[in-house]
Amino acid sequence: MFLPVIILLIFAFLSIVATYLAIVERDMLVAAIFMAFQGVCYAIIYYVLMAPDVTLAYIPISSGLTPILILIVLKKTERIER
Amino acid sequence: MNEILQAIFTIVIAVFIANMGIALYGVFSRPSLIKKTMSLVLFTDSINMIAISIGFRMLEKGYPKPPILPRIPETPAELEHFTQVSVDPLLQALVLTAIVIGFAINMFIIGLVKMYYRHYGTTDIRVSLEERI
Amino acid sequence: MRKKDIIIAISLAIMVMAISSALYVGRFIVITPPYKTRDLAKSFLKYSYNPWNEELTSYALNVVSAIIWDYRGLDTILETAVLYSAIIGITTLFRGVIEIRGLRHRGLSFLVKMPSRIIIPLIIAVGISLAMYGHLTPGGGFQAGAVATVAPALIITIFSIETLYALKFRTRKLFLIRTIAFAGILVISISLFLYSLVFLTNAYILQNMIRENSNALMPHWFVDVPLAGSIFFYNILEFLTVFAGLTYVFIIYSMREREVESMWREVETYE
Repeated sequence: MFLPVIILLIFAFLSIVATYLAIVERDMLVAAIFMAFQGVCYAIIYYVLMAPDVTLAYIPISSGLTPILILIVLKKTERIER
Repeated sequence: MNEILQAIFTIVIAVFIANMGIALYGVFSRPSLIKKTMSLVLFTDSINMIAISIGFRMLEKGYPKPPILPRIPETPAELEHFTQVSVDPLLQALVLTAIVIGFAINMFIIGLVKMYYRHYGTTDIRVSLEERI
Repeated sequence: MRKKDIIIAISLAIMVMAISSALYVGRFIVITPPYKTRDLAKSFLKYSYNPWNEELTSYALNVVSAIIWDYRGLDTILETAVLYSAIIGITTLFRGVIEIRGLRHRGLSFLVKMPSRIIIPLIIAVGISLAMYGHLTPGGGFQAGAVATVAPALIITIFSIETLYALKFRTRKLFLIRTIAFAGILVISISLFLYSLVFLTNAYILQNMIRENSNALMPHWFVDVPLAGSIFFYNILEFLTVFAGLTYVFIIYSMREREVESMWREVETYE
């Protein structure tokens, strides 16, 4: 009976850790992986808040298309910020 | 059970507002254009999450249900019971539109970043600021 | 990712959660979800599938799809137009590109290529199934398009872009499919209006089922499963629109460098 509440707490905690690490990191390939992990945490929170259509639209965009787009741009420009 | 849900809900909304603050800090404190784009994506995601959590509701006994009819209803009493148990569906339609438009703008911004790199040879924003002075 | 960064991140998260729970216990900031929904949401939930009230219903079991395509259909058509104008903007920035053919043996290692040959057709099958059942289960047009466009993006990353050319994905053909599907959405939205002009009854633009003063309606039963009229056709056309448009943008962004350099040299001789 407490299961949705515990899941909500754990994944909110993990999402704020992943957001801070994604901004401070200098190697932008690792920062894109942290962004994908934050997208997974948010998708699970969308499911616990009972919104199935938004979950199905958010999973491919945040964990599939945005990191691939950033990888394509990184290959053609610089990879490590100064 | 309902008191624990109220406490956790307040904590979770505070976490989303903190995410908004950290992403906004990331927009103006890092000198690389790609890092600014990634911070803008995180900012948009947090705002959409706050908009969905406005439409949640609590029941006296049990947990609420998603806004989809599980089977074809046969009496009008079943429809009445469904409207007492389900979550608000109008906010989810608005957030779907917001996700689509945000992704389109994101793709266009990355095209502009590639054009900037072709002209200046780097994605650092301090190079173009020195030219004006 | 040094140790200092991880410790700062964990302590920041603990600080945010501790301050907010302290404010809650002291009854200073209390944010709670309500016990009743709003009246507008109640009326949407009640009239979305209601065979006893034939003037306000739309025969769709998925309430969110009925709101997006039937009760507020004009918003969704304009949002598709915003996506279309972003694609046109990207086409304007990268003009004069020429595609080069010729397959080369590149890409990641064999261990990565072997499972992805099984997974990539399954991703497209999931996308098509989400589009066709959009009015009965969670899903819909835009969700299906976003899921199905992960497959060409993975092909670009794991294999090379010449593999995508060999599978007959040209930029001009994709742009043509995108425009034709968008025109199909506009034609379906005025189809009942044209039907009423031909047969001299009364009908509105963007109409789906029976409303006041008009008796025209789109098909709403398929043997024994409810089919929500124009919502079904809108979902399939939106899937084609989003799939073709986003794959077109991914191909333009990841082409080889030689093609775009020839365009850049042409522009510089003009100035």
